[in-house]
Amino acid sequence: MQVLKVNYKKILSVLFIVALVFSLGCSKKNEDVYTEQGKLKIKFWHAMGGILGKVLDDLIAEYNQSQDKYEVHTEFMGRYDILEQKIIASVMAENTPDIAQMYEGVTMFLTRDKGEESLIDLKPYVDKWDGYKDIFEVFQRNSTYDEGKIYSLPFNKSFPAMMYNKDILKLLNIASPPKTWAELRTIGTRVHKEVVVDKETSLPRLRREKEDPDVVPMMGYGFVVDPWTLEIMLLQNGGEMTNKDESQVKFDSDVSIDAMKFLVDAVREGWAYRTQGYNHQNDFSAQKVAFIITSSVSRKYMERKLVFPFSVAPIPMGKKKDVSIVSGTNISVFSSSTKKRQDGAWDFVKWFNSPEITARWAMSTFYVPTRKSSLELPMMKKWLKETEGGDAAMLQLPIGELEPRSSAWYRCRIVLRASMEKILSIVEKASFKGDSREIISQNLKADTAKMNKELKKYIN
Amino acid sequence: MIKSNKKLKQAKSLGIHSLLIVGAFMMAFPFLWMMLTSFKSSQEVINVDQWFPKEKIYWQDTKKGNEDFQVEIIEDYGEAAKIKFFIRRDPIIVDKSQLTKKTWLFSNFAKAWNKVQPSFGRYFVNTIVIAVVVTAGQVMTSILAAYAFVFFQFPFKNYIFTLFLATMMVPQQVLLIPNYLILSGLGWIDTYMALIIPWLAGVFGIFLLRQFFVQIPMELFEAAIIDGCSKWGFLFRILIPLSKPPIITISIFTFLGSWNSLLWPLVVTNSQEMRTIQVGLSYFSQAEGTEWELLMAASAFCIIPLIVMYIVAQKHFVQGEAGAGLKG
Amino acid sequence: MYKKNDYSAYAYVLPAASVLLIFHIFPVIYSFMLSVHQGTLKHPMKTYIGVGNYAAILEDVNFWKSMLNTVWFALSSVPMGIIIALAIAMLLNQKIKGLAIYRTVYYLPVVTSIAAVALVWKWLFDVKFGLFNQVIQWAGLKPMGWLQDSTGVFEFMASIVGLGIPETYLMFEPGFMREMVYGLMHGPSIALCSITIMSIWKGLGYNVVIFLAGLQNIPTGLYEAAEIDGANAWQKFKNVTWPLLAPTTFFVFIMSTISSFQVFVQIFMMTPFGGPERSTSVAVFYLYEKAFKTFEFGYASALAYVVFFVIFIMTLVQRKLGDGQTHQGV
Repeated sequence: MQVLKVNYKKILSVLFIVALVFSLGCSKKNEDVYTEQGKLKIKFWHAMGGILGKVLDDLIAEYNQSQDKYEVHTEFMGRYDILEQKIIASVMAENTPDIAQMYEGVTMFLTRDKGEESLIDLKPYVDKWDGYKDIFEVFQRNSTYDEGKIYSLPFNKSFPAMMYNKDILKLLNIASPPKTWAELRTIGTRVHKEVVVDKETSLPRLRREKEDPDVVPMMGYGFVVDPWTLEIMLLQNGGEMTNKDESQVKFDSDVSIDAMKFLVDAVREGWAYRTQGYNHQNDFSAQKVAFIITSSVSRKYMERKLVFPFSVAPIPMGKKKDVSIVSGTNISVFSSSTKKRQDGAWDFVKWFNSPEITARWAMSTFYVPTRKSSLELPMMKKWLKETEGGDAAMLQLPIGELEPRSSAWYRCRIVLRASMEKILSIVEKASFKGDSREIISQNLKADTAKMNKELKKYIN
Repeated sequence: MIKSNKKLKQAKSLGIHSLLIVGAFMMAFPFLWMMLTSFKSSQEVINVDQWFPKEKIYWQDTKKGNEDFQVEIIEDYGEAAKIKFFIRRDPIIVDKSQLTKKTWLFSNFAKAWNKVQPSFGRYFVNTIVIAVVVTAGQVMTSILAAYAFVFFQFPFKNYIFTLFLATMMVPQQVLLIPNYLILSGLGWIDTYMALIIPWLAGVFGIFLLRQFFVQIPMELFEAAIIDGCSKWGFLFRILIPLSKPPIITISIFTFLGSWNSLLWPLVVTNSQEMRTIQVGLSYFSQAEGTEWELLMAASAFCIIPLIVMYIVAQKHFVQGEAGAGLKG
Repeated sequence: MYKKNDYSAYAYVLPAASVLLIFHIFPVIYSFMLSVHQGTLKHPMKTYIGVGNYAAILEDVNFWKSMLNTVWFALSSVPMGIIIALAIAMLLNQKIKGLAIYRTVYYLPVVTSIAAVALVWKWLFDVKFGLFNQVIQWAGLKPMGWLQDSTGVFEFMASIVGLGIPETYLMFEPGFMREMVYGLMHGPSIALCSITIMSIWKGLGYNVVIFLAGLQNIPTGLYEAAEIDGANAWQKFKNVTWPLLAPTTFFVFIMSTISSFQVFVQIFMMTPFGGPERSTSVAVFYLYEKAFKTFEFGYASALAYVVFFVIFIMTLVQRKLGDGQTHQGV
């Protein structure tokens, strides 16, 4: 047997080299990268999937062609929560993109509480830009943080919108969709009582004198639990989400309980129902429900499949004042980029917020435009004329309010959603005989305390 | 007497087979349903009464983006026909030659394949490269370590081994945050390094091989050394050839583990070019949340390579599993 | 030759050791350090807070709820998985024809990627167009909510026979007691049970193969002897199969329990937000959320340690119980 001599020194030295490679992470962070045409590469992380992603990619391709200094390179990061995870992880690793879309909570997180100024203040750029005055006031407020710093510009902003089935309204001889929650209740109740889903055709028709006892009644209003709706109802009825300095939430107030009670009563009265996921949208497409409230953008996804006449209206209004709440993300520029790339990033952000581009973005996605003047553009006017209900979200721009922006708010929303779900799951049961107001108030009180605890953690 | 016994046996065997067939059907059914769905049109997917793809009529809109639409003929004029769409679009009259008939939509696979950036092809290349390198590396490091643990005596041996073993109980999620920091400190985020190097060693492999090696008589080792065989030589000439079954087991497990891992590559990669098929699939499912026929097509091409590999190398899979089980 | 220290051993261990040390052992220490600190993104260990995070966990109702969900998941998936796998293995062990084919089919789900099959099951469970609801409706029953239904399974079963679960909801102040009593009375949600069904399906083949190997190791002579003694099938199972299979069963039991406590990917893929009313938020999912949705790294690291500790204690207890079993059997 041939003996294989082993030189341990050799093995050890090989291993040493391996170990060396380990510790030598040749990091090439923060270097400017140029394309073959000599354009500076700008990295943009987003979460616009499917149809919206296609629209965004087309617009960006256009931007890249429109000038020869910068080339924006997009990376699709999946859902918002995963994008958020990626952004924060990249800040930790000092390996950020140049631009990203994000909610206000993340912006706050990255600039105030924990990120230690990971985003740049856009104020110096904004000061040299004449377009900022033309940005809708609500978005200006949305972008401005403590000490007048501007950490973001609006990117994909939306409002809630009410989609309605025109065939059903026609059956009941109702000319226009409900403008208030009270009207929604009246009309919704009528829909539930007078309209049914035909067994043969699956289409809506009026209830007949002699009706099959197990005919399916048409539902008035279908919804998924969403704090967004509750918050808007709360503001509309003169309530407040938080105290002045946003250190405490007020979801245990009577106004808040009333708002929740509306939903609970609606379900208990039978004309409305709660569902999950995208089922309200599916039911609407299948003509099983007359009204649903979703983000204005959902229309983009649903439109193709809606083979019946439908339209979209703003969210119903309440008792005291006309208010709605804006949602959606903004874009920010990261401070770990080089100055050159920050300039490029700003150039793109500015371009995206130009009247024409924001108008086109809005027209092809049902987000709202960010510039006042974009509403005056001929193409926008033409589009609004051709697109029934295309203005449902835009009409809410003057009455738009903001949610609290602290990063703890995200956690509060989770608690609030769970609270709403819990309440509904209790009162929905046929066996439930108790006082629904009692259940609502008890749960909202307990969960408000929970939310305040979260906020306190954040403030400390 | 004998005859009735035989009949009884036949009845028993029939009973067993029917039970097993029902069970096997239930096990395989999700895959069958996945395949059936992946060949359907989006109209058929939501038609709850239809299980198999049927013949459908398609019309290509050559004026706008060459998109294929599933249509229905509502009026037949001989040469031309009036067609109705399943989406929001008014009926139109077209020449019949423009209409095509399709039953099994193989195009769903191509659609799903190209619907991600750059394409699932790139994800496959990544996944295969990573899985192969990780497997080779892990097998090598495991052999070396297990060899030392069994045949050599050295200070702190048991402590080191126990320490290794203890890591098996730590949930992977614990490692994510610190490892992310380490990898980013090394500048490896979004590189193959981050996907490969942390997995070049695995306790499972070391453990399994150790369990196998301890069954080999120490005398064999001692005799070989006395005969003048080096330790290195013993390892390569005697031990490794003897240990083919556990090595194959480890290879299969490591390969599968690497191929199927989701959370790690999700966290340590950012760019589309670095994604693995699992990560690609999870992003895809978020973007195309309701296009089930495409999602199922994508799932199908993530799953099929594994099924093929399994059927080809079946013997090793099952032996390895059973071996792993009994020695554990 | 005997037991002389050989320092070259370190060279053999080094490649594995360096990887394990840097990426598997050091992080464990690192995350422990994180768990006793509070800090910022770039400086996660700014202030030392001792056991603060651990104390907070014990007071966290959501944590207890996720633990309860985990226990429900383990209780429903482990015994069921073992019983079904054992039954199939015993059928396969009858010297039947086509064993290889059956084994192949039963083992298929094990080799396929969990992320992809989770998607397939999500599609099967789809409320509107999923196959399960189609079949149910065919049978003339009411469609189920599957992954979207937070109804407890006890409550669901009670409602089938026309009973109700006593309403405990108003008996307690909101908080720990209320959630626990409610959770215990109502049982795991249908959403969680749906994931359990999928998980049993996914892991079944693995257990079948191990059981089959165990069964094949039982000498046939023992069965023959039992037959001569006039034992019937049940007696043979009770007196031969079960005791001799004990080590295998025990192995399967421990492995399934550990993996059921670490369940994550199918939850993440099928109910990305923790399911209706957080009823599919199991321990590891909650940990993931704390780490990557709310970025409380200290808290999440502490959670990881708690989960680790629970699994560790459980394994120890099982080992203790199992020791008696195994010796008795073999």
